[in-house]
Amino acid sequence: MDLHYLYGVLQFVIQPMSLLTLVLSVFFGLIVGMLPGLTATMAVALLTGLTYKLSNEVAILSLVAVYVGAISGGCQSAILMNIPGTPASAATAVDGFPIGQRGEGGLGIFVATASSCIGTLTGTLCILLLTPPLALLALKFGAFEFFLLALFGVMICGQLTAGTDPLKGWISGILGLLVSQIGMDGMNAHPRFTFGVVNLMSGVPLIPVMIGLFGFPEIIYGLASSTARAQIKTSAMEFKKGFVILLKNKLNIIRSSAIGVAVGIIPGVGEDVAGWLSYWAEKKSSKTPERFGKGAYEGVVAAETGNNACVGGALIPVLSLAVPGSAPAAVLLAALWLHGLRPGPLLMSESPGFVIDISVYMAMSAIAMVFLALLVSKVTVKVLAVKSTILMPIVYVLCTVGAFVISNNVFDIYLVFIFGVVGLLLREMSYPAAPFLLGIILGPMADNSLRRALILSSGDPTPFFTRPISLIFATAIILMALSQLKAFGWLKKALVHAELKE
Amino acid sequence: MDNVDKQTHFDFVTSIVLMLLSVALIISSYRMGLEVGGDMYASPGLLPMVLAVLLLFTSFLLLKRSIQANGITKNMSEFVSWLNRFRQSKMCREFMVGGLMLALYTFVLAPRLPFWISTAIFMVALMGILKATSIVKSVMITALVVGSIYGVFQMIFHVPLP
Repeated sequence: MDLHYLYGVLQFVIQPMSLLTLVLSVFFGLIVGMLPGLTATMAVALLTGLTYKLSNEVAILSLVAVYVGAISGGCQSAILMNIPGTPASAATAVDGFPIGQRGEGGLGIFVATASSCIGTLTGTLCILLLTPPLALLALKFGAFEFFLLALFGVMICGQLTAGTDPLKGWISGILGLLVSQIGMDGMNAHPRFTFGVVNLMSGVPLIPVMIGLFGFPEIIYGLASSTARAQIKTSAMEFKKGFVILLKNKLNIIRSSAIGVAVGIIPGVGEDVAGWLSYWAEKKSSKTPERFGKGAYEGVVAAETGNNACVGGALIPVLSLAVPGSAPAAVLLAALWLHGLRPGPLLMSESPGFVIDISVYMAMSAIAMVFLALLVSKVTVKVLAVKSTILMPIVYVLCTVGAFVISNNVFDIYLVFIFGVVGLLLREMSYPAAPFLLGIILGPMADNSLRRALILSSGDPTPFFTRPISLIFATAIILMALSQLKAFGWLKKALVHAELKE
Repeated sequence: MDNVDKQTHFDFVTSIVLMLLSVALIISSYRMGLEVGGDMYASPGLLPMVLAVLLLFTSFLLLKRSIQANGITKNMSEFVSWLNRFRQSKMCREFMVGGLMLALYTFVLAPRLPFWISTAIFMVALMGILKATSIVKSVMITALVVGSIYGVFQMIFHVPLP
């Protein structure tokens, strides 16, 4: 590691202005994260508008901090109210809420917060270790590989986020890719699907689409539910007991961190899947799985470590390939572009210190998060008791402001509403929104790469299947598609048949 | 079971809509290639066409699945009865009120009036309609929110508001 980069970023972070930004951003993230219905994606998207006029360093610091804060904040409402503040904390609620009901809410929050911190720090370490080799590998990517990578990203995201119905995930991804084709194309400057609307010539801006897609459905559902939430009381923190629980869960923490980082690296999948997978892995390996769901601390540790380790994992492909590992990472990628940064294979040569910068920001945010989360937990119950019919109008105003301030264009506010309706329809029809978003992000890369590749090969598609990296992606895509078309049904039948014979 | 049925007749309708959309996109993408000229593999309509074909194929699979599960007539009748039930439900009214208020703010108030006026009207009206709290509290919350946003965005960060 180049120590002078580390020294430089540490010098920047310890400045009073940077520390204040860090604390305020983590705090904002925690509050947004703990409020049911407001996700980490929204937190990052809303803050992006506010950071528009800040220097790159301060802006990125605040966005990373809000991302870490929002993912961690979700555990508090999960433990106290059985309502995960963010989808990432859904698995935390399974055991967290029974812990809260047992009157151990304070201890539960401490264990969850400390696990979040450890998960984030592990993710940070993985950013430092894995981004440079992945960026080196990405340098071997040509137009053929980038097209297939985009396609693979959208497909696997659709496969993993759609629950039992990957077909809907793929349809959502294809729709996102199609939306990304709106505007003048990158090679001929030919307007596509603009219908004469000047504002669409430069394409569909990402931030308003993200705000609408993820925020609007929550606002509509929030407006429709007018019930006030009951007041709950938290218990004392009991740090000593908490540390003992964490020490007992060493293996659990290591396993969940590894799962979190691995899930994070997969394009678009995100923290909720990481949380569930880590929880499931811990339950599977437990000698007393019957305790899970009844207030087992192992479940909380696994879910929180996994979803927070995923933050670091999701940033690895952002930095090395410019492909987001999760929905909030997608907004962060858009914000990096907005601030003139170019994450991707050339990042290590163009801005060699940037990976270290991001890692330090994340580590500092994780540490600040622990202190702030424990402080905030005292007022959490009061914040959570606010009626959604009061909260949601405020959130919608923030959404419109967040969308407007990026380019000072009223059209972006219209887009929030339009894509909000799209998001609502997707949700009502059980289509995941994450592949749609990933499609919008990866669409331009897919378009330019596909045409560039075919121009290079004079229209010959065989290099997609003859170049080694392309072949890997192509095989994975074909296998994924065939598995859904039940092409392996004969194999399953043959195996069952063989087993029966035995 | 109710959820599965609901999804099946939704799938039936959405797959038809998506198939029509994909056919329109295929035609539009093909025309794009003709307008620009040159080889089709370099045309701006290439990827949209590939994607539209994929959408057509996946929508067809969805349609096939929904017909296999429920049949055409049952899907249609279930969709119509769901539509009637939804129209008369409390949830529909709440969705409509919320959606209309947001649309009003987005398309009418925010583009035409200064930020603080449009936001004040929107927030007080919406909280009043939803009976969220007393009118005095609504006004106080609105003043606090508008003041905070104005202060942070416009005064501290010098970012213009709608």
